[in-house]
Amino acid sequence: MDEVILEEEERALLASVLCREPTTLEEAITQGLWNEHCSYKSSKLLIERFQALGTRLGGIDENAGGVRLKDGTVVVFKMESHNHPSFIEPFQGAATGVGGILRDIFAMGARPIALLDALFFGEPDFGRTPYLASRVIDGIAWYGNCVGVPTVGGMFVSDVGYNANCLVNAMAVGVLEPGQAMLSAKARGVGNLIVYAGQKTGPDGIYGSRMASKSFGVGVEQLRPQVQVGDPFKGKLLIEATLSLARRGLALSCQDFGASGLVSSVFEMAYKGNIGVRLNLDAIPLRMKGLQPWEILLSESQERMVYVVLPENAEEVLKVLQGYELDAAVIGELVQGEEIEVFYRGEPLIRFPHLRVLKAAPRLNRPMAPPFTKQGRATGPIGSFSAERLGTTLGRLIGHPGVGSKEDIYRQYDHEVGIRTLVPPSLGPSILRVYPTRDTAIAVVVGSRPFLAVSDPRGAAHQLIAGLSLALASSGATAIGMTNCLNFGTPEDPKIMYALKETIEGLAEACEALGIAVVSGNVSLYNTTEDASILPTAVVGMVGEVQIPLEEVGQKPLLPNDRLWVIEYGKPALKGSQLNRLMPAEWADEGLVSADFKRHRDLLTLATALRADSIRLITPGGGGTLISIVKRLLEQAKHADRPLALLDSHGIQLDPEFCSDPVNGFGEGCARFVAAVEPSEEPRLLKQTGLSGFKSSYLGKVISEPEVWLGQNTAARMEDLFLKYTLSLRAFLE
Amino acid sequence: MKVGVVVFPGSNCDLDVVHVVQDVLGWSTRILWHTETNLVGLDLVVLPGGFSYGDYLRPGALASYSPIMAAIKDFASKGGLVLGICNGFQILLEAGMLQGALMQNRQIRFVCKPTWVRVDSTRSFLTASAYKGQVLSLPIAHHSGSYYVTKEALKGMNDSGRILFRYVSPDGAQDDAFNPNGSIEAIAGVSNEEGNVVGLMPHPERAAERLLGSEDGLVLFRGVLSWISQAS
Repeated sequence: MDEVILEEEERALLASVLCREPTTLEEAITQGLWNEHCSYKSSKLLIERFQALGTRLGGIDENAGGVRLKDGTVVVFKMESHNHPSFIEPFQGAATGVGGILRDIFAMGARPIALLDALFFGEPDFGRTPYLASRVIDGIAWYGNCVGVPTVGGMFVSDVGYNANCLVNAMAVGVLEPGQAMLSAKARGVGNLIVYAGQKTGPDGIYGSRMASKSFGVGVEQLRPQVQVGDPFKGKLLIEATLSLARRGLALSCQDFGASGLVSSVFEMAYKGNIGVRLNLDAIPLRMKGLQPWEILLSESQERMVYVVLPENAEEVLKVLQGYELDAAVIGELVQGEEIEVFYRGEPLIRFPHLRVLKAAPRLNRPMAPPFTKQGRATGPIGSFSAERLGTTLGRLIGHPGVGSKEDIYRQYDHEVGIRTLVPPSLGPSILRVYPTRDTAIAVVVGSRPFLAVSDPRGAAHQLIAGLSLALASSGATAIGMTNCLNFGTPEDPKIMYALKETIEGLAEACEALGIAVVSGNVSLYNTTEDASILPTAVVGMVGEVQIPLEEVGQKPLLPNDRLWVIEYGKPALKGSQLNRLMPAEWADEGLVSADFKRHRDLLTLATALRADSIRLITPGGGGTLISIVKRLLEQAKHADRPLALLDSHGIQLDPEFCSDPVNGFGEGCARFVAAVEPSEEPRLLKQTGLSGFKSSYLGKVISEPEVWLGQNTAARMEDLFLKYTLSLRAFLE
Repeated sequence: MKVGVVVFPGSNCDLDVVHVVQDVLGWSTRILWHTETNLVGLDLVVLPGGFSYGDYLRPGALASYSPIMAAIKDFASKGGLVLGICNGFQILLEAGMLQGALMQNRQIRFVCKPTWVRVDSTRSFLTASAYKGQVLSLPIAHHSGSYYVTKEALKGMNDSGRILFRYVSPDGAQDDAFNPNGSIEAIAGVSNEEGNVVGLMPHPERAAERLLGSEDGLVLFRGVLSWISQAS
């Protein structure tokens, strides 16, 4: 432990708090509290913007946050990154990411009912990318399947911007039944005891949080000992044990061991509760002899929790925990005062003024600078599509790993355990009933717009929130809350700090305007390797409450002669689209629509009304409107069991006028949805749309021939598109 | 009807089975922690799916030594009904209560998807209400579901009607493209000689409600009633 622990400036700050030079142990503990990963020092001032928004339960000072459904159920959810560990050791990195986010949920006393994952990798032919992607997916499957929480959705992006840094963001959703108390992370009550449970403590992941607080140089494999190893079996026992303690009112508060181990869990719990602690390191179950006290304090061994309990309940609490075959021990006591007094081998080791040190934690106001903006290239009209060019473009996009089928991934995840999954992962939001015996249901979805955020982070944030809320409305749900994971590069770069600020502002503005609570979040900085930073990547996980009868949540198929209408308040744009990202020279335009929140609220109302009326709706996603319709036709025609078999696929006849502007077919935005109606329903749809003040354009009609027609000309065969769609991930996973 | 649902450390389909048995079928249930040994009064004991002991060593291997297993063997020897689903099937095999073994899927990956299985024998409590050749839609979710048994044993099992289920196409044809894990003869579930101990990889409890896409699993659970009424 003789390397430099704190940077000079922070060492001086600590010295001023202590009024003397810190010891090495004090420095190590302070590093555990003040590092970027634990303290959010670069982003804290910015994320305060989220504080004031929406009706939220729990939140920033707690393990996660939640929103209340109409029946009184509280849905608790949060998303977290495990980017750095996954880049070093993808299997364990991803697995422990899942384990960690689950602990945040059940630490609140909520039963986890769903997991989702947002994954960003480089190009399939770049270096370690296929290895990283397939091992990350294996790790998520291993932990999620074993722990018995279904992985019901997610997203997958492949782009040159993630060649040097992959992103693994995991989201967990849990529920508290009506009337069930939420467990807090604040330690309260002098004389109460601190109980430890879970895996024994070993020397794993020491300084793991520090790793996530700096950028990578070459030789990342050397960091492997900093990556922790997960045990989903223990994780499952901890879930059941913790929920049992919560149900019986035996735990007063609860906190998992995350980054920086004991230091962050116990020290922060005590800080939030404004109380002192007497902590006995000798009582901590250890996996091996000879661990140094600083190693015990900073170990990031997984699957560990602490509970604050009444002294008279301690025996019963230990009995419950041991009944689940977990190691458990009383490791400390809450005391009056402003210090954490640590004992080791029966002797006082240190008195650490945690209240003062945490209060003094750096809040950095880092310099920001708008990016150097390129002069908008004056592009003329990009020309219209010939049938052939349309077919090639559809094929190119639908075979792209970010756009194509995700079945190769979600088939590896148990997405049904818990028997809540009503709409399994496929296209758009997944839907779960909250209880097997009641009608309450939620819809969940994740999304991100990094290609747009490169040039317009605030606009991308607006579009992201607006687009996800529209996807939920199209599924029969109303958006009620969101969580986010903000993945950025090095915060010392003023342009990156500026993008972070713009993103946060954008998310907050959109959520405020649309009435969506920001319940929790996570910031991951230093996603940088050798000066290459990722694209500014804000991932949002959104939860909606289902408003339609559960029998109707599944999407009904599109049928021949159905007429498709685009309903919108503003056109999408090629800027920031997948097509533009793939072929920037060929498909560039500088046009950009902004989300108009007033009109967007009306669009949500219209979509909700149409969906309740059993009109089939499609909210365009990555790749644009045409891709989303083709995907829907392919998904409904593919054989549920036989791979690569397409049964009786329908096709589509596109209207030449609609397609005359490529932006219409391949642009991406947030201001439109597509409605499919039988010819007899058409007048009613157009009347309702007109009354709501929205423009509708005829897109085309479903045909029984398995082809895409532009007018009378064949642009593509569904069979060919299906093969590209289905095989899009093979380069990663074979 | 009284059903015991065993919970091993790491079981994770226990509550799903309880829901179906209790709320859908209206039978009473008792949750049995793996250290219990009293099975008095139960008609059926279910070993649910999950990852008992984290699949460490081999799926089902450690759980097969749990205290409750001796009681379950005794229960079965007296004619009590025992059903192992997924990990429960693995445990019954490890405990020697059924013949054969389950290996890793041939694609060496976990697989979660709908399958079709054909009922090939009605000589068990689980298939007592089904008809031979009936095709059921049941989902699977496992990593080690590739059933194996020696050729000689297989012949005996076929002859005595102990092969209960095979993976097939939706119209009931045996076809390797519909074998999701490489099981020998596409076997999805088997029983013992007497028909009172059954194990299968697909999850009937995930296919017991129209909302979840299939009610075919109910045909199997209702077999318990036919079996018991025939026996009495």
